[in-house]
Amino acid sequence: MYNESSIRNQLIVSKTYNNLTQDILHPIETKSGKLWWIAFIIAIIATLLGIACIIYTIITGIGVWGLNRTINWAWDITNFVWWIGIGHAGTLISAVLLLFRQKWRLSINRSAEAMTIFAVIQAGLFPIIHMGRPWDAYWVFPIPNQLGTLWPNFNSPLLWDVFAISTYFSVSLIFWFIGLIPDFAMIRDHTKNPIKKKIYGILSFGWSGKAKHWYMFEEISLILAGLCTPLVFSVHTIVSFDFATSIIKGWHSTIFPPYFVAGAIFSGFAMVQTILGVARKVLHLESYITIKHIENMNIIIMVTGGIVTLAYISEFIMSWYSGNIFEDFTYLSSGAATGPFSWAFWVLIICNILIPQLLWFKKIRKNFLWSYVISIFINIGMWFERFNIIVLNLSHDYLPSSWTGFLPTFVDIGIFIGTIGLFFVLYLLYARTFPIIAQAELKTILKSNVSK
Amino acid sequence: MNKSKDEFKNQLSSFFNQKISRRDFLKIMGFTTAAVTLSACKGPVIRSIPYVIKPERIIPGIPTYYATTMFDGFDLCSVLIKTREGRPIKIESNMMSKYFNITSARIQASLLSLYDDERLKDPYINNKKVSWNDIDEYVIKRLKYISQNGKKIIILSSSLPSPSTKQLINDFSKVYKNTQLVIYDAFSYSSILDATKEILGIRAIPFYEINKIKLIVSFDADFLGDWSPQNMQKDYATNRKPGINMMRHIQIESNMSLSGANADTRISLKPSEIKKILIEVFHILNGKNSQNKIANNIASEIKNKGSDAVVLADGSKEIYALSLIINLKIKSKALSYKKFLFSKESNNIIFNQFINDLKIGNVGALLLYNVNPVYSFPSILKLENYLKKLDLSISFAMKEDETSKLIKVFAPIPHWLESWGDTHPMTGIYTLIQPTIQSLFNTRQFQNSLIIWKNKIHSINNPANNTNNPANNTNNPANNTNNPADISVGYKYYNNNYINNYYDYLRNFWEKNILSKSNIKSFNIALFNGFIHTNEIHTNKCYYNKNYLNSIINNIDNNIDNFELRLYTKTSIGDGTQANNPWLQELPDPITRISWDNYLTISLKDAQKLGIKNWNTATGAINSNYVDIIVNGLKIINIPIFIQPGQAEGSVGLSLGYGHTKGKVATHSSGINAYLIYKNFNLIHYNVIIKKTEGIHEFASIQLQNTMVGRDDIIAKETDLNTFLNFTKEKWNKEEKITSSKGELPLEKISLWKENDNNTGHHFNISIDLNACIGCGTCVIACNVENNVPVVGKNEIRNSRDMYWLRIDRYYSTKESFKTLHKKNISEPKIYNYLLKPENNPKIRFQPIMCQHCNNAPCETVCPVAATSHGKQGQNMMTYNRCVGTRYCANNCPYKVRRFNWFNYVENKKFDFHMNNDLGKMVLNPDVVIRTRGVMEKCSMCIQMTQETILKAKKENRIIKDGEFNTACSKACPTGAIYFGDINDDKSEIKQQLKNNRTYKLLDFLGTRPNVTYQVKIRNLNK
Repeated sequence: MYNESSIRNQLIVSKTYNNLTQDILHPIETKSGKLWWIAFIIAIIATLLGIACIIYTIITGIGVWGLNRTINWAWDITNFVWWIGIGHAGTLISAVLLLFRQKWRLSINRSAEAMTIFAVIQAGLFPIIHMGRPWDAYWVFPIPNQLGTLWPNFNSPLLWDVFAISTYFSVSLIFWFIGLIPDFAMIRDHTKNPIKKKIYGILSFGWSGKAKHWYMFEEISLILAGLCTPLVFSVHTIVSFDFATSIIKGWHSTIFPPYFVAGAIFSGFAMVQTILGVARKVLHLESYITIKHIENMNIIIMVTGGIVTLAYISEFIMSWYSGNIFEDFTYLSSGAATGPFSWAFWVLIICNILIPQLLWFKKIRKNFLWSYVISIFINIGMWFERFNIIVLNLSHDYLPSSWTGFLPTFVDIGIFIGTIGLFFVLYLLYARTFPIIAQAELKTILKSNVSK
Repeated sequence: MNKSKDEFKNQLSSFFNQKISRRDFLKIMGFTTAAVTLSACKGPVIRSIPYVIKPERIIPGIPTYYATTMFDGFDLCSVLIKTREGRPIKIESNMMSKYFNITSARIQASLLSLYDDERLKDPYINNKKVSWNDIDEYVIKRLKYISQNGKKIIILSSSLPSPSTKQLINDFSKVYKNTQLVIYDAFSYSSILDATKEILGIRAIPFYEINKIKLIVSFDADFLGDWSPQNMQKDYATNRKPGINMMRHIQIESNMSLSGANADTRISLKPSEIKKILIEVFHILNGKNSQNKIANNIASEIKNKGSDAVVLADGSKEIYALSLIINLKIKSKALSYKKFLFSKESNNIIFNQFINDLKIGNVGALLLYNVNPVYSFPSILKLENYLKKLDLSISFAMKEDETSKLIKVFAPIPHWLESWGDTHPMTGIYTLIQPTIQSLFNTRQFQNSLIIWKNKIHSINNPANNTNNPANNTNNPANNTNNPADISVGYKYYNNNYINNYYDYLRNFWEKNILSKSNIKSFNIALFNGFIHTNEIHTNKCYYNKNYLNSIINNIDNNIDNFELRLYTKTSIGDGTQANNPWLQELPDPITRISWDNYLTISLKDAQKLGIKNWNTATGAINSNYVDIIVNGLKIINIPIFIQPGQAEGSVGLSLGYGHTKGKVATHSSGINAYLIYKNFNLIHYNVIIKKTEGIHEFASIQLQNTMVGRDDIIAKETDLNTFLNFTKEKWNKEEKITSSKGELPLEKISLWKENDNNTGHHFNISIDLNACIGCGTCVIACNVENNVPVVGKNEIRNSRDMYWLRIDRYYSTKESFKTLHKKNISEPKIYNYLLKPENNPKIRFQPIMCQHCNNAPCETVCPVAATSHGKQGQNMMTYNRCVGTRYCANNCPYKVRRFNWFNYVENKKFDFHMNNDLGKMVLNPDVVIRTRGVMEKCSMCIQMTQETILKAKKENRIIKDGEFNTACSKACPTGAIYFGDINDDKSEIKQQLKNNRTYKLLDFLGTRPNVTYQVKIRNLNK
């Protein structure tokens, strides 16, 4: 069992085991409030819009998007990388912080992991629908076929993506689910509704709280944490290879892997802040998600934000100092800052570099509202980072004769809104049916507090 | 009855009452589901049927070639037609012929007019479908009446350089008195013809042998465009091979023309000043002094070269005449007095007489052949009124046009690919037109109609009337000396009444009159060749009237206010004959790179004065203001305006041939009909008032960045002749090297990749000489035709989604470069203000770009499903079936040559061009697959052509000779700028080309190792 260091301040005060159990059970046992329904209906509408746009795309052709012969990727891959990046915080919180024995993670890891899973689902959608012929998408898997030696191209970073993302998704899902088992069992034991009892009974895999169960639970958690940790770094490294291994200026950059990973964590924590900020208020979790949690996350945001800023600066310097005229209009260059996409350039600089600097002030860092606002700016900024990397670099490439601009169509926007909608549909359903706090684990630190 | 009913009832009830086992249920369910599903499916309808009796020469899969002549009233060329399974699918130049053997974009594209879905498919009278007999009866009755009443029967035709048809019209006029042929070209060559008549004594277009000279000075003559029907491109490029003897080209012009774009020195002046300079030059050459610096410079260059120079001019009769006089004065070697061109016969005087005749009601019948006067004649309103009043109007048009609504009788003619005919385009050359496909529709040749109407005159109505017996008139050709079309004087007359079709007439005519002039004695051999050469030469003496000269040089327009307008024809649309051709409408203009449109071109300074702007939207697409212009009191509203670098200040340009109101494709373009202001066939109009108006025009341009942004030494390289001659390659075509531990190594020595075996078998390379490329776009159309490249329409071009496998980039020069700007201490990002915008009178570089077929191709490594891979023969190959459409390859292509099928372009109502109808699809090359939506496509190095050559040689068990391998572009290039061949063949031309000092590979520092090479452009600035 865990033992929190006695020097550290108590994270959660004035809560007993029973309080915790009841707080977790509350949203599952009671009827949903008006607010939940409004949010849910809005999310469903957004999802339907997204589905309609996707169907329209598949029936008509990718031409309904704003792409052109020069900019062959734009919102599709931007959204893909953005969602993947968001999906990074959950695993980092549960796996890496588990290995580092950061107990404060216990209040947020469940929801962060849920966010990861749901975000990866959104991300996984884009590589499929961005294909010209999505019905042939299974060709990217190495499936034996009648042609014998016809395999996918193992040189292609897109193929690495397929493996990286599917692995990441399955491992994250299992890790998340394993953690849920004792909590499902708790709900099973408390609920009085026979149908719920049955469902949670199935989900809890016959958990009975035996010492052996606990022992195996601890072991498998550690093993999966060990597996997840490299994945946190590998997934975004491989996503960055999509760009770094190409020969397009602004893409072809060796600092992309660490820079992308830092950016992913940066955006992931910002998204955790955004999501939990709402959940904390709506589900009355103030005593579990304390200002200490917010501050800790803000510090991680500052660190990763610093890495990202450093990467931007080195990209800028590299393009300028190299004197390579083909670097003149890459996404971090004076050409980009003054060119047709200068607005996107400055959105990136303001949201990702300037605004997070406010977190240096302890007052702001420890202020719930301020952190929340900053996290939203970071989410926007990180979306633009990917947009700039993809669209700006493609729009001004080697031969000026091919230079073009870009404007999204309503389909581009509709699909993006749709994924946000689907994300929230899943999250809202999760919030009402799943134990949103890893109570079994959290109780371990409650215990240490109580025993003191 | 009752019983049986009950029986069924019983059965039915027992069926439902019996207990069905699970297995039976599944069986029934399974069967019904399968049956219902299957019945819902419809098998594909295959519209091909096998031959019952196979035509002798048609072997499925093997092309058959026919020699013929492309002639559509505007363009003329000796061509070979490639037919597959009986349908023409490609036009190639007939290189056996010495002249008129160079195809242009328009000639290549004219194939598609054959398969135009809007063609008239039957004859009509008053919008009622009728038989040809009805037509004949109707027409002959009226023709006879008209001819007896003394009214004129006018055959209004575009230039008709067909000796047999002229003879036929002559015959026809014997039967129907008062028949007159009036030549009317929408884009008139009359001033050139009149000037030549005045100076050289023959009403023809002079033939310029520009391969014999060293200096060409063109005063506004777009000789690489439509200035002369003579194909000058090839001689021009050949004579400009970099070296001591490279021809120098000076162009003085107001619009930026194709010729100006290729000039070594281009001087931008408005038309009135061009005329002044020309007169000054004339004076200086005659020993007078002049203050004008430009004129002095030009004159001294001409003096230096003497007879090795030639002066070309355009704009008016006087200007043209003066250029001829100068050429006579300097005894230019280029001006041939022995050969003249006859392919243009425009005659404004006779046409104006005809209009007068119309006005006073002298004309009874009007036969319209290859003309569309309601569209192209400036005073449209008046003309319409007169045409309505005619007793008989017959349209020999292929499809409905603007004139059609005023016409009663439609006698639709076949396309030239379905026709017989002959032409006499220049001294010493006669060509034949033969059908390469059975008539697709119920059409009849114009000539056939004339023959039938001529011969049938007596079988209709009153056969007793013998006075009009043509036999009586055959011996009396003198009757018709007033007929301007009567060039048949001198041909043998013979009784040809027994001939009742044009083929027999033509053959007879050739055997009697034409073949005797050459050493080819058989009509069939002439037909096989498509042409005959004769030894005819002209022996006219050159003379000109001194008074005439004085009238020219004293007629200087002074103090001209407002703008001067110069009308011109575009490379793609020409005079507008083929405006309904989607290939041509979509072909971007070589200079402006705008497709589907015409516009008023204006200089930046004038635009700023008038507050006119061109700007880019977020997608990069170009928008413009509209202007109204007033020319000679005539106002045209809402003309889109385009700021053209190099346009002379004070001048504007507008192209003819747009603004049709008929034709699906032609109206898809939103152009302006400039014929409205083509008054008196004047190309130049003074005192033009321009006013900015409301509204925004949306252009469809395929190139949005016009300069190389300081990359001039890397992308399309250029140097001047002196540097080229006097310095080593290091200075002007520096090879990229990589610094390594072993010192500086060439790019080939360093690679991360395993080397391919490129030394065995065939390995194809393309070499493109930027010095020879004039940017005419012929290769682009040839590529479209050969590879079934779809047409995407104006909106998609505007969205930068063109599908061109081969494009010709056009770059303007900038005034400054990185070097000069750094010296001035201007740094980023201010530097881009100078580098992104072209200079006022920019030099132009053209660069054809297709897939570079990299040996280390960036696209190949990134495809997740290995849909693009490397071929053994050097091609970068695309497997359409395997492509899932991630578009990563296109992103990773540094040359941006990959094209994605954003939509289905075949059988899609939104892309209602030739691929959306069964007739139009007949043009598709059966050797190249049609791509579905969602897959990437690109240049294949015409693998279907190389493979055919290889297999043919293999079957014949022989080694392939150099020159046998070709691509569509290399075959079509009029200047021979594109070489294609096998570099593993040591003796091949391509191998020689690669050794050339000027050779470089595009963006080779990326390590892509392209199989396409370029050769540095050389500008001859040596005075």
